[in-house]
Amino acid sequence: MLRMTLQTRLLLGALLVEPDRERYGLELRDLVGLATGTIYPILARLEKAGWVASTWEDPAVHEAEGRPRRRLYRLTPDGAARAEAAIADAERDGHRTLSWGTAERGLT
Amino acid sequence: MITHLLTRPHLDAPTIDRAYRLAHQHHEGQLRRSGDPYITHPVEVATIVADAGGDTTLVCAALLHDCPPGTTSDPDVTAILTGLQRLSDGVPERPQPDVLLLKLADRLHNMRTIEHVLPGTQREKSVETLRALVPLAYRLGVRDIASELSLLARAALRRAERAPWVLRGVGMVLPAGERERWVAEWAGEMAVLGWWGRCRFVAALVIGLPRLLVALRS
Repeated sequence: MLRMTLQTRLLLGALLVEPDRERYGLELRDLVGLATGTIYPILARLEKAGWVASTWEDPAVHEAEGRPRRRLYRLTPDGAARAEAAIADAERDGHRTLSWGTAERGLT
Repeated sequence: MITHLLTRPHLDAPTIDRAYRLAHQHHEGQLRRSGDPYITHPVEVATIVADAGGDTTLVCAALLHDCPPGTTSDPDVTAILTGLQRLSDGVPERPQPDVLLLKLADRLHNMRTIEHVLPGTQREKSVETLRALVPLAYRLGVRDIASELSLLARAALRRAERAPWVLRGVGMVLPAGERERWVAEWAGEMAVLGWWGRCRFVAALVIGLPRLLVALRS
């Protein structure tokens, strides 16, 4: 069973904004406002649980930009459904997930 | 500095010496990224084309290839330099073989000294070399240039793919089966950050490492 922490819900919320778009770690860090050290463990747990899937970036894209390949993450169809349900549950329980400010208020 | 070019029987020493003096005058005080005087580059390029059988005109064009247009009044040399410029600008036309040989020689010397340029540029130039210039060198029949370009580009790409030592160090604590993937992922993220961003990135990784280990072992 996946532990549904506030940080996990924030990350899922960010992935749900455009569920078909693949995102890389730094991008998620900037979207969610969490430290990189927090993002990777959550992504690893979500991936093990089958909520997200990751692939290496297409060489044509990163070679054209002259940088190394990125690892890209997106929700699996199953993961997207479960993420929506988890966020809905949490919001029903009075937690807010959309941004740090509201999330902090939701916790107090 | 160019005695080795002036003593070749198939080359006209006085003409080459004149071109060298013009180039030397123009590049006076300029440095390569390696810190060498800039003139070392055109001289090396000229040597490469001379070794590949280039004639006096092509050797002169090589010596003058980084000088502004109009530095020489020789129409044959000017024609080659114009062709080289049009090739760089992507003008669609079929360039003459001498222009292509000069282009290859220029790239060969740049690849020999590529460790002095930025990592992103190294990768970009190496990929372009493997995709476009190595096949071109084979088509022109200059096999030595083709194989050296290929070796240099592959070596530069391997170096560029290699993750920074600090990430490989952090990766040592991960389970062996997971290590390569995470280290490569972090290297890909860190490559776009500045010095301070990299420091913060590594610090955050280290802080999050216990949680990552738990996540990977669960």
